[in-house]
Amino acid sequence: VKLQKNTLLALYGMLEFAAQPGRQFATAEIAHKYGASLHHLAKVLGRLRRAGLVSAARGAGGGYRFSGNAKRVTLLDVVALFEAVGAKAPRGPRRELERAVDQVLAEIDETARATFGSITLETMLKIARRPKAAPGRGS
Amino acid sequence: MNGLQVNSCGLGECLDRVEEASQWKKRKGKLGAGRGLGMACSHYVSGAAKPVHWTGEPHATAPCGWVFGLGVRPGARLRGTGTRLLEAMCAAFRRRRVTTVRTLLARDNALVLAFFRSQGMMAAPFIALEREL
Repeated sequence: VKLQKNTLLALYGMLEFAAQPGRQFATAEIAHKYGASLHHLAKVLGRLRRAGLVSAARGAGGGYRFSGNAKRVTLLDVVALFEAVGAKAPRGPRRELERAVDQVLAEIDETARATFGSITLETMLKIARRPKAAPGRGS
Repeated sequence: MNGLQVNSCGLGECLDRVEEASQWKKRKGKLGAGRGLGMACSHYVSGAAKPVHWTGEPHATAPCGWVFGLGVRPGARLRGTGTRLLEAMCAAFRRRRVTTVRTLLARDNALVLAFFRSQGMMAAPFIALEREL
């Protein structure tokens, strides 16, 4: 699965915010950290704000802070604001082979959706902080 | 598995009978061009809450504990009860030298999936398959 630049930027931003809830972040700080243009990031943050995931602070400097519930907001909640995980199959008459291929692609999409939908921001932060040798994997 | 010992599932005896009934030794390699003789076998574990095909059985490489169920009443959630229940299970597994804990969930069970994820569980290297009969 490959996510678009906007979507990844939104995810990184949300995780930065969720890691320090209550702290106000300057747009420039996030933009600099992830090598995004201010204009680009502003558009992404605007969409997150309209979805109620972050709130904008007025005044000099401005900025954004986290306003979601890190235990409940999933990666899918963020990703779905920017792109459809699994585009819908095109309408119209479809050949048998096309339908069969669509079916397999849909299977992959379902798994991707379930994966994004089961990982909350808090869980994602835990994964990020975990020491490299993940417990329970490998032998 | 689950503290029970499986001494034999009768697979060897089963294969012997198939070999005899199919006249395997007599026919193998003698059927002419384009014709062959093959066989397949499968097994399932009965008597468990869920069929457990891929581990915990005698031929599995590492002992693995399965979480079959865990529930917290809606009104009592968000207080770490699920976390403590799972931790107690894991502690019991560890005492029996079980090194992996696994569970199987419906893909659309978002809440419980999110719970197990929050406990550090990641996708196992298996894919569940099925078909209609």
